[in-house]
Amino acid sequence: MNNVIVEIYTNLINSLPFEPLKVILGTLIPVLGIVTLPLLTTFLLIWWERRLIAFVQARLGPNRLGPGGLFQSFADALKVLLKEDIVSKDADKILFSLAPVLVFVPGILVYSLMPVGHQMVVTNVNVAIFLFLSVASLTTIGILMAGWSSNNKYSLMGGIRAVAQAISYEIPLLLSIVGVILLTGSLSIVDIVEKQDVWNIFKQPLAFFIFFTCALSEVNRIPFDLPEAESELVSGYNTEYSGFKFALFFLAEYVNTFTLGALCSLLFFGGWRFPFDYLLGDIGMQLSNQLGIIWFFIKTMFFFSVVVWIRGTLPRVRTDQLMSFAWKYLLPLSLFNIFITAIITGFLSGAFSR
Amino acid sequence: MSEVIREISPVRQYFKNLFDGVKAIYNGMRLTLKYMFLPKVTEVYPDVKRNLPQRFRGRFAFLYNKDDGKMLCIGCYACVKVCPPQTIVMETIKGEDKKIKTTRYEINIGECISCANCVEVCPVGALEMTHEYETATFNQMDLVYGMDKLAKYVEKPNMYMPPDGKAKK
Repeated sequence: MNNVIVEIYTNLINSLPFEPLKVILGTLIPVLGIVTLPLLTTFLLIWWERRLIAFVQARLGPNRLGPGGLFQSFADALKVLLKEDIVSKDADKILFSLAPVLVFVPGILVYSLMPVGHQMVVTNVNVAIFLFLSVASLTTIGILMAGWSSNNKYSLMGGIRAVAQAISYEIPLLLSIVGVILLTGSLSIVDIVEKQDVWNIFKQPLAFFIFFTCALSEVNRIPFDLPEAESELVSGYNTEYSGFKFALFFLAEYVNTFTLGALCSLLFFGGWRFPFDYLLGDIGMQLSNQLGIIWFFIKTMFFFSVVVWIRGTLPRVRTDQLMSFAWKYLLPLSLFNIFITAIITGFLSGAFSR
Repeated sequence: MSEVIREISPVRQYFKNLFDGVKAIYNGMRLTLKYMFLPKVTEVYPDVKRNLPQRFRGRFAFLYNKDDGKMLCIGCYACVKVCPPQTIVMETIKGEDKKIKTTRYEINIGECISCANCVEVCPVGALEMTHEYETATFNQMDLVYGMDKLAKYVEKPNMYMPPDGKAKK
């Protein structure tokens, strides 16, 4: 059962007259998709976050430009790009210019590993989830680089905080995913989604909450936004940035948050699959396979909305609270989760029986 | 009476902390979710305008009689004298019929402090504070309102009515 969209696309590429043209277009179109689609979704996400946070605070948010204020983010982007690109005098010029790129590129890169629908994945790597998380954690190097090269106390403090936070939260993040991997028996995201007849959230609820908390910390969202704490560090590592470089930081934050939502839906909520599609038989499979991108987008937007909802509710944690929470609570809980999952899957697969 | 200090074991404290944290987050999230669906307090100003009170002091107006189109002003200069920022400019001539006629009446609404002293002091009720308040302009000179821009045609003079309903003398 093939995805109609993928089939049309493949036929289109194969019907091209020249062999080199097939190779070039077959490479360029997915690359263009990976680069442009996250940027376009970011505009939607910024608007949606501002609207939702306004609703939480009993305001209306941007609602003047376009339908429901949808084009507000385009206007803001234009304004940011028109700003002067300031590089402070004592900054490390090369690192200062390199840092925003290093923050932004990993965020975009992981989209090539993300299956957005049935057969709709750019590269189906068999260690995708491992690669995904290792590439995503590269962002921290860019943040430290930005903090260091700005030659500003607050920026450096933000960069150091980002590293400390990443080291603490990477471990429970990975350990919580181990539970899912044990259930699936594969590191490929496509396999993980295809084996979720029953969504993983019903099998691994604890792992989901640990994963969500750690992922929030990974993308530096409130309540774990210590590296860019506005009230303490005057927005931390990006204090000295302006214009296009600041825009890159800003885009990276939203791209990463979207990735968070996407990972939540892929690992725990059945990715592109319609809820309980295996009960609906053939219709369910068709719904999942043909319209998968819609379900995936809805689920991801739901988790993005939850992130915004948390932003509207919880205050920022202190550094010592952040550390003790990671090492004293999340790490033991995720180890406990692996332990229980391993025993149960062992019994179910008959590893303990003679 | 000595106070009894109950020691909680570290293990119980650990799970109590965990439970308390989850409970606090749950309560907070529930409250913000409720607020998400409550009516919003924002006034969408240019689309929806607030109902103004009856004695709102907006832009100033110079009244004419609606029936015969004659101005109500008798040229007594009371408003000019009472105006605190001295922004009212008035010129009068004595007409053929020995009656004083106002030929020039100008007010800079940028200088006007909307105190309504002029309206109160006018013996014939020829002035009024309208409910119009969107008077911003691109040019400073547009703020000087002459007789043509201040004109407003009314049926009866704007006499001050105290709360007991009797007109001023």
